[in-house]
Amino acid sequence: MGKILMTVDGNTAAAYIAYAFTDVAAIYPITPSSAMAEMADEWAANGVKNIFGQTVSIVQMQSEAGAAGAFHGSLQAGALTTTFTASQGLLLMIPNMYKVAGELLPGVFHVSARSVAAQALNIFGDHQDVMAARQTGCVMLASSSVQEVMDLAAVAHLSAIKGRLPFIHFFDGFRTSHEIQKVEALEYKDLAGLIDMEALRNFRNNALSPNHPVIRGTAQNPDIYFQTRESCNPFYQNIVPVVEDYMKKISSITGRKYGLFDYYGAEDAEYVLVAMGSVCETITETIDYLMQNSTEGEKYGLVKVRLFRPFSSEHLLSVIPDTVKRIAVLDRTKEPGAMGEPLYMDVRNCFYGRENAPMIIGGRFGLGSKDTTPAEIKAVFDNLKNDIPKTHFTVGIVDDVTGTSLQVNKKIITAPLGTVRCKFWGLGSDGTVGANKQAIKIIGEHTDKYVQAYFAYDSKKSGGLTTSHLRFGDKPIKSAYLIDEADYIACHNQSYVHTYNLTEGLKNGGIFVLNSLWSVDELESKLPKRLLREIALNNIEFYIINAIGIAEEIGLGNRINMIMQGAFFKLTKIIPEDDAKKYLKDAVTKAYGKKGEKVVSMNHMAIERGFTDLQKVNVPKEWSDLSDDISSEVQEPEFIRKIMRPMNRQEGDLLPVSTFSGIEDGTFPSGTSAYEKRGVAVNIPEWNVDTCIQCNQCSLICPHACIRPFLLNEDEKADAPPSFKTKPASGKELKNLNYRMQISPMDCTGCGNCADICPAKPKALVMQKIASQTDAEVPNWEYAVSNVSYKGDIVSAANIKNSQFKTPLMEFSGACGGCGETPYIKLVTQLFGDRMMIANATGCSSIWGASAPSMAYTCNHEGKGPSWANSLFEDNAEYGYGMYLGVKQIRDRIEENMKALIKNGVEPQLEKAFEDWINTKNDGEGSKCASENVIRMLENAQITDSENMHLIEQIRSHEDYLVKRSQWIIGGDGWAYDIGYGGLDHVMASGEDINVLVFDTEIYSNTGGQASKSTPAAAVAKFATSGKKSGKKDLGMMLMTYGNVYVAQVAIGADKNQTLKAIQEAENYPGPSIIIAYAPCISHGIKEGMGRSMSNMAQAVESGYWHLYRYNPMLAENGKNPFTLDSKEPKSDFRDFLMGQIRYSSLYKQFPEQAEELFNKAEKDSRRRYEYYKKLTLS
Amino acid sequence: MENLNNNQIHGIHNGNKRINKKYRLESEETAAWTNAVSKAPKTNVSIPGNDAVDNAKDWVDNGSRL
Repeated sequence: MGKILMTVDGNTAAAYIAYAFTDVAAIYPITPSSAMAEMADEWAANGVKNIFGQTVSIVQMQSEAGAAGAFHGSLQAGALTTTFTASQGLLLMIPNMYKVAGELLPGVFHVSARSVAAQALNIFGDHQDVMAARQTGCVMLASSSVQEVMDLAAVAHLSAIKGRLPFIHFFDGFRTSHEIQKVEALEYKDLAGLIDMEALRNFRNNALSPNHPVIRGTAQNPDIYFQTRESCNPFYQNIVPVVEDYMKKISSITGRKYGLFDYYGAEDAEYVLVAMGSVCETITETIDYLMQNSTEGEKYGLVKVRLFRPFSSEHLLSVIPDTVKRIAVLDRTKEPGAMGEPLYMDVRNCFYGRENAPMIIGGRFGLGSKDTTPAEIKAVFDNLKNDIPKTHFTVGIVDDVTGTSLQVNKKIITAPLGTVRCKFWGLGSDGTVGANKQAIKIIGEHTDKYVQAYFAYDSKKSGGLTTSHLRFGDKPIKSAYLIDEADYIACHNQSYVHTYNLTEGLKNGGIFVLNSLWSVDELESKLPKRLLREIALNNIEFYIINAIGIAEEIGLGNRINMIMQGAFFKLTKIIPEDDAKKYLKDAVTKAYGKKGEKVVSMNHMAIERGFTDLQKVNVPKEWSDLSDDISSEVQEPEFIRKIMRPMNRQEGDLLPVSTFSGIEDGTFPSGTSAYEKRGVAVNIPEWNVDTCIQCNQCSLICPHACIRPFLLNEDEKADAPPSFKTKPASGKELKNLNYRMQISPMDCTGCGNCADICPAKPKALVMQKIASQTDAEVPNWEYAVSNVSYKGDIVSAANIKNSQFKTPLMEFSGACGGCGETPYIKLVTQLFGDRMMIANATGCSSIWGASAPSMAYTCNHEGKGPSWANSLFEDNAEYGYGMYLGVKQIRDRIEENMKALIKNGVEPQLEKAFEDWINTKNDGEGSKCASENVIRMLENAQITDSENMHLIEQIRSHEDYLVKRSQWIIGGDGWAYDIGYGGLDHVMASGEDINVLVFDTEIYSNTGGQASKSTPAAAVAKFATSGKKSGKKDLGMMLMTYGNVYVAQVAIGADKNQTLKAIQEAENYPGPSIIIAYAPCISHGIKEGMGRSMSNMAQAVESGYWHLYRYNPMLAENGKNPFTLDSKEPKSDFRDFLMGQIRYSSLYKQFPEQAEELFNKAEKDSRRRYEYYKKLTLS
Repeated sequence: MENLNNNQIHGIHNGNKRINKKYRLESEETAAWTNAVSKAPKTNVSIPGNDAVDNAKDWVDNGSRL
């Protein structure tokens, strides 16, 4: 049999096998499973054949629920069908999983097991999702490593066909799905030889067909349902030997032993753990260590669970040594309120009633990809050996609330000798991750070494911290945890020296490399004392290299990755130097060959310089004695001090459970992002007081709210720092005030849109190096926000200029520089933020808005601001609608109580206050005054009648609801056009006063660029690799058909006034409203850069790509045409607009024949829409 | 739950060295999108090269895998 060596991650391994056995894959993207479907789609697009000699048909549906329906239908039609999912997606598939299992269909679900949203969303790995599906009747097979995925995925498919049952094949999300290892794969021809062809024939012959029609999915009554439900029992009995048999076949072919349960450890073990998933690897490594270092002769073992459903008691008992006295079962899930977690309950049940049964305890670990280290496994064994072991324990956290956690006594290093462990601190998109993936491939392919790579990221959408964990060794690498002791650490971003504990875990005598602009002589003054001290105390070999300088010199700009790669290979000596250079250069030639000889040559030079330009720092002994700079205690709110700061230092793992007492429901305070001050920007705008025309457009379009106008009175101006220049404010309402446009340097991302959009001549904003600005502007910002009073109430927000004097209540988000989404919602918060409720769909907007601990939504000087919440992805419209309904019901009750009081008779002032409130109840701004008046009157009211007192008390207790809330439902096009469309449609049909804002990036931005129904024809996206064939859905038109929905399509960079008008009209409209806002995204690949994202919006409108309009039903009520077309006849070239973005121009490069046809279609589609809109203006 | 209202947040600036620091915690000088090949003439806004735009797009589409 042929075997192929591959250096791949778990997702790739699963996709490789799934592709072989699949006719149709119906999918929907969700992290961390999306890559499986994307790879399958790419292979299909490139003509790769499955074992049946056909390319796989991959279809993206509107949601996982839809994918499951299509999965079910495809199976009933006789096609071998697969899907890939995780977490919330798996939950949405559950109804169809029952169906597919009940109908005995051989579908396979490959699941990169992930956490399920409860008190918070978590995209990382655990078993909560698969455990939520364990009762569906699907067979459940667990893989613990990348190699096991490659082997057991085949078992899943083969067994499904033979056994006529669907399979969930799962492996740990991220830890296995994204871990890269060198593994062996079987060739497709050998996999094909394992299929039970008779079973396959039977499956195909059993498919629905008009040639031999049958009826399936009948409705049954109490008379027969129970019996037919039980009739499937033989299939569940039969599947156990089927799986076992295929495991044996795979074992004999590969030489790797697989059983339904596998035992590892001492044959006469007394203490045994039972677990499934990647932790099994860590446990085996720990058992090896403990047995080698045991002083008391303890014997340990592990049962690896592979077949979880059906759970074969017989097979479990057969692998457990008779010597076992105690068993600890580790579950990677949580089932609140249960007697124990599922795997624990199953294992206990196996021993129920047996003589001499061992003591069995259970515990939880690893939720949300919490790392589980050898020290923690040791703690589990230590607990097991205690006189009274703790059961229902947790490990890996400190639970000082309910006391479940096990204490971890000491760190142990269990990695086999000779394993080289390397950690890299990088910045998202700086090439570090890509280069490390390349390094792993080089080492994997050119040496006999075992290799492992794992990457961790923070939640910043672009940029943000990346840490790469690479291991190489002569023995198999079972360390399924982050590197806790490193031989080599490199920091590719100089600014991190202040941010993170970079050398933590670096072994004594280890190597530390810093990409540094500073010279050796400057290090002592520039680096934090703590870092210098650690370097000295731990005898660290310290090197610096000015990778940025070298890159610039070579002509690579800021591209440092190949330089740092050269440094890595030079210092670690994993491969002989000449070989390393050759392999790196070959990889570069392969990767960049198409970009031309010059690019290849520059990268080759970068590699050479990495080898030659390292400078070793002679570490003076005196550094050992350095003490940290003395700083006075910083006054910060408790949340910031106790939670945010540790989290941002990457020390959140150390926070005990009690840290979150009082916020157990997942509540976080608003406005924490203001404390971050990341200093991300390379260049920031410098304001010219003399040329500024005070239009405030820069402030309007700033994606991060870090450039704002301030109005100062004379006292404030007099107290301001000397560099805080102002000029007399223009506008009659602003008489006697002084104006300044102030930047927050450390919050700015440096996109440059403000400077680009500035209409002043010469420009009032010019980008400058941040270092030239911080000395003056950091204190200036501090002065502006701390000492200049709010004056936004002086003006109404009737125009762009005045709207910007209102404080933005969404600021300093985690969005990318130049993000097209954020300016819209920022403006909405300026207009309505003090009475706003937001339901936010999962997507980019929920990630940049509220990734713990950075909360971008904040409150004003009165402590009021948007309440914000994210439920799920698919239910966002309904969630927001629910908020509206709850508030409406309570306010209706207030009105009823007021009317009752009026009827009963109260003092005239109080009666008038109630009447005014009732009359302005649904007027946002009007209700503010009326509500204040009601509160004031109630304070002074003299009521003696008991019924009236009760009614007054009812009103008082609901004071919070007096002001009319502005209910907003926001999200991206993935939600609005696809997965959430059903709910959105229903909510729009309700006729209620709800406002929807859709950030239309025309792509699933957050999950890596999959097409949505908003993606226009010709755009290249995941699952539309050769350009999207279908046109863009016209969501606005669809909703206009209701007649009573306010609809607007806007683009803030194209027409700021129209955007403002639309937002105000929408909110003012006493019914459902929707604003569809064009949002350029990094994923578009705008060739001018995201510093021109606002200009890109203008180009979109000018070329006829995007249209601006408003449909206002209130006009119709007044006998006017409700439809206003706000964009003019296109005047610039449509094709030029397309070619200015990689999402279109790449189609031309890759599929030139199809490109022309699709570009023409895209243009026709846009033209057709425009013509239709024009017709609407005539009606 | 503490009320981190604007006054408190920004009022706490006075003397808060963390908020008023001038050193950067997370400079993006090595990020793909800051790899400028030129600057716009009047504004100095960085204009990335095609490779930089490609790399930036690749990161959000494939790199971060979020």
